[in-house]
Amino acid sequence: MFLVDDILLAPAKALMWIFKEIHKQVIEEYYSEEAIYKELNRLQYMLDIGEISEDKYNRLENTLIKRLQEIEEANESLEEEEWDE
Amino acid sequence: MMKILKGLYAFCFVKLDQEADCQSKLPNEMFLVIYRDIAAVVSSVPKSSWQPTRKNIQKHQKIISQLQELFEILPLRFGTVFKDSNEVKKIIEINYQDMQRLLKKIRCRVELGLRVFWNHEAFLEEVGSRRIEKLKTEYKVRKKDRYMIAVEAGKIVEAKVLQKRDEYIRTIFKPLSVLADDSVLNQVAGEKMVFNGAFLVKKQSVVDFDKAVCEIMNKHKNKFFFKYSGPWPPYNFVTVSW
Repeated sequence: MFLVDDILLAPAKALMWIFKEIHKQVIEEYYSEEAIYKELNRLQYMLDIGEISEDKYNRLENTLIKRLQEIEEANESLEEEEWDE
Repeated sequence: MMKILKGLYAFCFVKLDQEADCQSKLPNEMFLVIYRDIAAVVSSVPKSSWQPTRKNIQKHQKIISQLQELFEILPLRFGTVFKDSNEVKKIIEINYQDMQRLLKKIRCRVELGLRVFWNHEAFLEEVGSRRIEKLKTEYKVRKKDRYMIAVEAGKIVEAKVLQKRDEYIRTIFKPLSVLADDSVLNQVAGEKMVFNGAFLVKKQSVVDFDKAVCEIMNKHKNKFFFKYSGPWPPYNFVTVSW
C-alpha cells in the first residue's frame, strides 16, 4: 500500500518537497544576521545613490533592527533551553 | 545557566603613558581594562545600544574621534563586545605584539574614505551594449522564456561592470594609493558603486591628498559622483582578530 501511495502521490510529494525547501530557505534568510547586515549595507547604498529618501531609510532600518532583535531573543531562548536540558 | 545579558562594549585600545591621567580624561561611563601598557576603553551599556542603527554607529564614531584627540588609539569597529574584563585582558595579552606594531603603523595618521558611484546616465552608457539593447527588445516582444533573456542580460551587465571597475581601480584608486601609506578596497554595496576605498594618510599629507581627490572629482564629475569622508580613526587598518 505504501508503494502504491508513493507512486500515486509522487508528483504532489515532489512539489510539496520543493515548497518546504523554499519555505526553509526563506526562514533561514529571514533569521540570518549576516543577511540583515548585508541589507543594512544595501540600504546605505540606496540612500547614497538617491534611490530612497531619509524617511524610507529610517523606516526600513527600523524593520531590520526589529528582525535582528527577534534573532537575538530566539538565540537567547535557545541557549537557555540548551542549558536547561 | 549564566546568561550574558550585559557585556563590555569596546571603543578602542589605547597606549598608556600615564595610566592615572588617562582614566581621568575619560567620560564617566567609560573605563579602562589594562594589560601592561595597553588598555581597552570600554563601557558597560545595555544591549539596545549595540544595535547597528546609523545613529548608534555615528555615536560610536564620534566617541572614538574624541578619544583620538586625547590618546594614541587602535579604533575598534562598531559592535565589538567582550564578555568581561578577563576576556579583554586575555585578548590584549595574545595580540600584544601585533597591537604594538599597529600602534606604530597608524601613529600620526588618519583614514580617508572615498566611495565612487556612477551616475545613472553614465552607468547606462558605459555598461550598456548593442547586445543588451537587442535583448531588451526581445524581452518586450517575447511572451515565453523571458526569464532566460533577463538572466543573459544580467550576466552581460555584470561582466561589463566588473571590467569597468577594474579599469577605474587602475586609473583612480591606484594613483591615490601611491599618495597614501596604505590603502584597502572594501566590498561594493551595489552595481552602481565603482569602488569603496580607504586610505591611510599621514596627518601632514592630508591637504595634498585632498587636492589630488579634488582633481579626480573635477575630471570625472560628468560620469561619477563621489563621497569623500574623513579624517577618521583608521578602522580599516586595524586588523587585530580574536
